[in-house]
Amino acid sequence: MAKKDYQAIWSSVDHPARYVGGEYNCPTMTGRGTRLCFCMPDLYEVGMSNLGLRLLYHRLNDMADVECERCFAPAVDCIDKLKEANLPLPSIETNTPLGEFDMVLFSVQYEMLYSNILLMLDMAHIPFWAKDRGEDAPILVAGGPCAVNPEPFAPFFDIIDVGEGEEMLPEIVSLYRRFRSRPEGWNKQEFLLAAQQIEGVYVPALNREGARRKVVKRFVEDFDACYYPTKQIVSNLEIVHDRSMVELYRGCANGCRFCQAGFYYRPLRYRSVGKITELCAKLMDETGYDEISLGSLSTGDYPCLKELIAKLRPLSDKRHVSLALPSLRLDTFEGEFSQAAKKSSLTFAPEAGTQRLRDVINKNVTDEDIDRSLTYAFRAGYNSVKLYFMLGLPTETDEDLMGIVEICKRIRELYRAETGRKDVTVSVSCAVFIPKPLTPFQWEGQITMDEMKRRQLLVKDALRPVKGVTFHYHDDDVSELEGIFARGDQALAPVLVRAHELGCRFDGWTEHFRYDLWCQALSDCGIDKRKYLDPQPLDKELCWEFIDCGVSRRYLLSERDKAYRAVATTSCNKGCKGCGCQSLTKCNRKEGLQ
Amino acid sequence: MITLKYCKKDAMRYVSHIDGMRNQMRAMRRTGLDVKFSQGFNPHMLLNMGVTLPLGCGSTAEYMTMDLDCDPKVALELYNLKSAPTLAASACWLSDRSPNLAGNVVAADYRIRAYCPDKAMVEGIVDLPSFVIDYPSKKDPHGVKDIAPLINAIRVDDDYITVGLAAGNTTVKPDLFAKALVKMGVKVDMNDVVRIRQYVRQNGVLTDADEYLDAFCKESYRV
Repeated sequence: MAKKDYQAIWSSVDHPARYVGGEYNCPTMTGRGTRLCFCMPDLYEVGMSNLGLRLLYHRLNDMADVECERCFAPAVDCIDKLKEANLPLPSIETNTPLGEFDMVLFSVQYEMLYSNILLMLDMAHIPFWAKDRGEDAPILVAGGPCAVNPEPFAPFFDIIDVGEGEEMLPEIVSLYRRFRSRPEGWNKQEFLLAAQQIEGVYVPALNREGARRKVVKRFVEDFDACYYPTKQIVSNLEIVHDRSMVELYRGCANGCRFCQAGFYYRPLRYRSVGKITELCAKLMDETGYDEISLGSLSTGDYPCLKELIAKLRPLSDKRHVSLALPSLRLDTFEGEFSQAAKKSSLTFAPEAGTQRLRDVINKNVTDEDIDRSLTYAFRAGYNSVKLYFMLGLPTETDEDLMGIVEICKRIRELYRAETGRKDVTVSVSCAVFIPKPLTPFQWEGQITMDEMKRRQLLVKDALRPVKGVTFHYHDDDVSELEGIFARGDQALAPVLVRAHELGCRFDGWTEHFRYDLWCQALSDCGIDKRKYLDPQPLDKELCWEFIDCGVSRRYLLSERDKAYRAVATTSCNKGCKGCGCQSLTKCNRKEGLQ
Repeated sequence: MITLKYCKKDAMRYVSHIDGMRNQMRAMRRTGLDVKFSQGFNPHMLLNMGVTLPLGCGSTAEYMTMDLDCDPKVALELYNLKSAPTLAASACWLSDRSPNLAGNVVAADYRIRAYCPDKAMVEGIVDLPSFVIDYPSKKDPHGVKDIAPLINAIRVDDDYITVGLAAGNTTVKPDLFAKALVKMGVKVDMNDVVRIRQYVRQNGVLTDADEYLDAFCKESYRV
């Protein structure tokens, strides 16, 4: 394929900048050495916003004699054009078809992207099933948050990275290079056997049901010293999160019982104020972004947030850079954390409408926290609030749903009391609770679509008379499918292939999602979806439990038991709860942070 | 005020005007130069781009002006150090006031790679009383436009056609002109349409924007 062939395609599609690269801080590719392609099964604008991509792309390109390129799922118009011209899906940097790389690495962020993995493989003319790929086919690697239960897509990959990739991926690539250059020649089977000795690596072909080998999640022990690129790639077109990002810490001390990330990213590891300040200053100088996001699972819980902001503000103000503090919890928000200039909208996630249900899910937020935080916010000049809730939580009643309405009414009253005005806008967004692996709710059932609809309508009707409130809710059919794949096993892999054949793609995008085709795919493969949506037996090993993420089954069960008694568990910051992560490393170490 | 003349090539051809402006603001931030910001509720960098260029077209003559007081040599060298080579600058001017190129530019020259079997036919377009081409827009996807009064000159060389078209407030998109040539049987490489010069009108005469800036500004520096 000549580069010119692709040029003609890029010239004729919408947003061609998605496909041509050339961004600032993008390394120069020579086409020599070990060639990797980092794939995100979503559009460029979404994929480029991912911090994992930015970290690992630069980490791999920093290796000697290794070049890592990128590829994103093409938009529908581009898919059609590439197919029409019979051109395989290429990388962005050098327009090399994916099949010509040594390794192709997929980052799988959430369940609705599974069909796009097959879309990209199909477009790259790479066989789906790992067993169908020969010795010289690229090694396919998957990683990302979905590796917590990789079973539905496991048969498509040679290697699955469980956990954090900063150290694991370079080790896999180094091993690959050794096997490629060894005197006795390349042998894929031997390479995979050696790869599965690397901590965090799961090789599905060698680790089958019936003879399971435990896979221990990989994590970076010294977070302060761990690799973090400051010469980050700067996108040429506006992306979803168009800013620099620095993680303040990994893990979460709160232990919300529905939250997979809160358990998966344990143990808690902090970055020091000095290191964060140094990284932010370099990022401002090297990227030119006008905003830096201080990210984590709960930014307000960073132990030295005030000191950090005091150090960063002079640097950012001088450069006209704003600091973004996403993921603030209601119990940690204070007016001084709010943005200095633009005060548009604040987002909080109470998750449930009543204190009882918040105790069930262990969302340690009280009505007083909500009132106090919003008073701060209104005093600081905000007049718009976004609230996230979930429907279908275990033990949820209609009374809990009405609690959402009560919170909205109280916010209006608070605003009026604080400002004397009525112009506050409250946006309520309700997701559907999906039981996720590695949470205390991993055994729970997911409510049926009819029940989802009933609860959504109940809240919608009750909110209608409350002025200034808008209500959004997730599509019930997408939530159902997400629930199926979240706890799915390898029996769902043929469903993915069938759904792809039927035309399923971009399932996270409402305009592309085809529930009817998914139902047909499940039916064609003889799959009863309730098997995955109904409550799971407590005494049976779940299909993802061969993966050890540190948090013990016993702890999850004890948390589940507390949930049914509506007993909250305090934050890890108020004493270790013995979840099991201590077996991996010393968790929640705060010495030397300042 | 600092005005930079820069190119737009390779991948940058596919970056839209608004994204291009955002990129240039980031490049200026990276230089560390003290470009002024507005004083409003949402402060923004005081940087203006010249006339827009259609997506897919390259350029060797783009201009942007920013509220910055510094040595033009320093500004140009720092900019080139901190921006993608596909946006490299070739000249820089320092002035007391904005040259307002976005408002003053009235025409531009474009170089189109093409194989033209009938040179006289193409060069004769400039003398036609009417030259109606397809001119689709969002409002009217099947629109047409008579661009005869908006063509200033056409010259055909071995591998290229150079055409002078109206630009600025009244404009002709060079890619649509190139498509019209294709309809006339000219073999055009649509991936090689490049803006090579911009003009302002001074005393009724088209003046190269570089010359206009040389006269308007107090200092200049060229690579």
